[in-house]
Amino acid sequence: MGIKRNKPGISTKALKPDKLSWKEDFRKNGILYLLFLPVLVWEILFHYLPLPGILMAFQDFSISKGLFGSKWVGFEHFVELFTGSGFPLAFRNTVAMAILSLTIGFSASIIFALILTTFPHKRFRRLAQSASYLPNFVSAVVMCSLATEFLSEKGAITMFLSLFGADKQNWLANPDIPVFWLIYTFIGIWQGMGWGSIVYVASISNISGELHEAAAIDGANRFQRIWHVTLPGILPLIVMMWTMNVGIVLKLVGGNILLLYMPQTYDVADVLSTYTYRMSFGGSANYGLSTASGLFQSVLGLILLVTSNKLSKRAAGYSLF
Amino acid sequence: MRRESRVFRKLITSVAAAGCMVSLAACGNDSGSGDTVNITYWSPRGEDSSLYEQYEDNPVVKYIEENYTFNDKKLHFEFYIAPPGSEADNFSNLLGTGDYCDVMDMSMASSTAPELYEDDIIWDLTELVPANMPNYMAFLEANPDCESSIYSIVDGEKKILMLRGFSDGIQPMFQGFCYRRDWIAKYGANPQTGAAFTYGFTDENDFESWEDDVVFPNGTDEPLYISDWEWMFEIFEKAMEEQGISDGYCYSPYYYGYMQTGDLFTGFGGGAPYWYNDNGTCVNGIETDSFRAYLQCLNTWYQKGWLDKSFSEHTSDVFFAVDAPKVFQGKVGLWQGRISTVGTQIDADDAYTDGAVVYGCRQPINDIYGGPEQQNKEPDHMYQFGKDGNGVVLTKKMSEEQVVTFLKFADFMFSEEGTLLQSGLSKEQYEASQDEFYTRLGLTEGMYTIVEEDGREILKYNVDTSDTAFNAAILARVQPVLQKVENVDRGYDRYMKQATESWDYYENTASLSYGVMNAVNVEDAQTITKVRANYDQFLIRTVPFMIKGSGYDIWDDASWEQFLGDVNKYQAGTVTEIYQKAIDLMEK
Repeated sequence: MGIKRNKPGISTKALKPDKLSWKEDFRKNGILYLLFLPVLVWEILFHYLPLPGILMAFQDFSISKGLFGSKWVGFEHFVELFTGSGFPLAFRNTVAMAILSLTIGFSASIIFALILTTFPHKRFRRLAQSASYLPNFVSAVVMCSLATEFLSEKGAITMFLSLFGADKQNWLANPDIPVFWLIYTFIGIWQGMGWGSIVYVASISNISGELHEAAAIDGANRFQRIWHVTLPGILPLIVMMWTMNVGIVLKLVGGNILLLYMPQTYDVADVLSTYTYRMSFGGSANYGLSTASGLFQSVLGLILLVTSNKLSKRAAGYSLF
Repeated sequence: MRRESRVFRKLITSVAAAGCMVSLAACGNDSGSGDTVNITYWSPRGEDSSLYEQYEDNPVVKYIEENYTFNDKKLHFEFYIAPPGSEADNFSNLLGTGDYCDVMDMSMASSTAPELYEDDIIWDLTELVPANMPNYMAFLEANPDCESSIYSIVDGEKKILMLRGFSDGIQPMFQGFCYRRDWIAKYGANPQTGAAFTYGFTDENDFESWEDDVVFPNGTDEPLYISDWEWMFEIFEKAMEEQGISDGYCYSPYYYGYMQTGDLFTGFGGGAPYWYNDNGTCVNGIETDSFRAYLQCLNTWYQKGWLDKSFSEHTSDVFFAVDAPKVFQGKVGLWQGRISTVGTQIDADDAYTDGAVVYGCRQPINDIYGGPEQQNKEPDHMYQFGKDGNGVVLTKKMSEEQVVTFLKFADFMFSEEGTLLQSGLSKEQYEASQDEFYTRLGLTEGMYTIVEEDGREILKYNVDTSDTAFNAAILARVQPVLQKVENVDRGYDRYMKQATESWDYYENTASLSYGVMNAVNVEDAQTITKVRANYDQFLIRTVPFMIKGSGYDIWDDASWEQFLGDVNKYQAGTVTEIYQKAIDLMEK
């Protein structure tokens, strides 16, 4: 999946290579196809074969009766989902945390990559880069436990904040908006910023040094070079990453929340995935309800993906498809 | 050379693939061969891994496997223990993936036995049990109060779908309310005379020699009423102040704000959320004035600073070990705790626990809050043992031969020999088996000795029965068994005896029985699940805030009415009706 440049007046036709037949292509790029094979198998196994499972969203699914023997209940699970007492708040919280992730969370990796690539000391840069990757390799359970400790009544962050007049309290138990939303966003940044910056660092290094040199000769300072050279250079990548993130952000929100929230903060911390989890598996397992919720989130994600792709096409001239 | 390398690579690949297959499988399904029948058994609880790594190493399991045959076959168990904290999820996942075991413990089940039966997952044992379990049937005949709990009602028909274990009497409780007796003695004064109490250990070398002349406002030496508790809380405050404990508190309720087993709330004439009232009808306790009086009490305590401000944050604690670290630090006055906290057991010779003496106390009776209907009611709805134990279901993964063999084994566990074996290995059995675990623990005399006292044979345990190693040395995780609790000397010290007597003083007669639960049909069970999923979420989100004085105002009639109106929106009454229907069905 490539990025399409869609500026009027510039023809890309001349740049296209001669089209090869699939046999020639396969002969020429056999190794690449071979490398792609595991991905293809994985996609088929885990993303296409389970697709008939969507039927469960419309069934009173029973394990023994199976997918094609269970009773058809139409949209009953969707009604149950949307009329559930916690659904409106869960939906609001999902959207709020998704927006924070897509703004603050998403830009943190780009800013970090820009800082890293403009920092002159190579050794320190590498050290900072490696240190920033580490949280990505630590289990979410450990990360959330650390966050719980830091944010507890006697935690390090609480103590630090109290220096500025904040109450000494367990911040994770605070039911006020937007405390939990921000905590969730910053934990996400802590976990993913370094890892997410890799792709941007790689892309920035591919920008021709001559462009920076020319800008410097023209009198551009460091910030101006970032603004006029580096950012436009990685803009297609930013658009692609953002569009892809928009599509999956609703599903991503929730992982850490299960480890961080408590009944006291359900009103601000409950999201679609945690709400569905409790509704579906709090008592007897309700596979229909959980599938309905998953399907709802997928459809919403698809709509967001297509919309954001169109918006970026119109605003920046780049699109994913 | 190249060929060898290729063969080697193939071999490695095959082994890796086989490894993957094995690791992906949950409960294998090898029914055994020849003289041995294999049984896979799922249990929500195992033993402390420092004692032994897998339940197959349990000394009683090993002894049974080596020394007995059932249906002319030897038994071999493979146990699958759920990850702690995810028991119900694990149960659901195994069912969802079809990887369930031959025998599934139902104590943490997310589905009822009739649901599993309708899903064609489990065996109908209605005919097989009487045919293969004479000891089991004899026990039920001798204990008609236990009989109803073995039946489920499917399409109006009584069926045995679950094998339930039992005790031969009421087992003493392992948990209940505990309080710092030493604080009362040291910092309190006689409520009638105002004189200081005398207290102390009469023999410094004997931890059981604590004596005091503590008297409570009710005139006895035990706290019996809510007014006694409030009197204690004032003393606890003084104790914490004088010791400089800034982060202590008098009491921390369960994080829901109430307990679904009814504890504490029952002293206000209620039960939560579903229970029998005095007329034997099912009631949703949340809708009663008793619940309002209970909340008013807790709100008062919260406002006075007696409650743990963070009580609703202890979400991973079980109700009988709320904020246990703080209890063991000596910073709590009263708590619902295990038997391992009574006596001098929390004394760690540090600033706050040195000289600590903990007594157990009864469920308190409300004599302050609400009106006459909510006051002076004897508690009758609480977490307490009955004769009923946990149950297991036999899944259709078992062949009929496996089922019959397991039933014969279960029946043996209801014989005199089996009941004794459940209590651990005797000296003779240990000597014959030379069990490594018993040797390591120094149990060379066996788990128990039979002694004669007052013309009765008493089973006297040779170990501390409150220790975690105790459960590991007996057969505590396998059902169905007949557990021996009558004529048993558990080796309790005087504090443990005092605590268990207090905890068992009132009898739990108002909880909905297993029989009622089993009489709920599949469709109704699903309705209950759906209603309660939302209703419980509503309560858990609102009740802690009501105690803390936000949200609904429990002192304001209009606000209380609004709360009741919102409760009705969740159709909680539907559940009451379903349970009532089941009660009526059971009584027919």
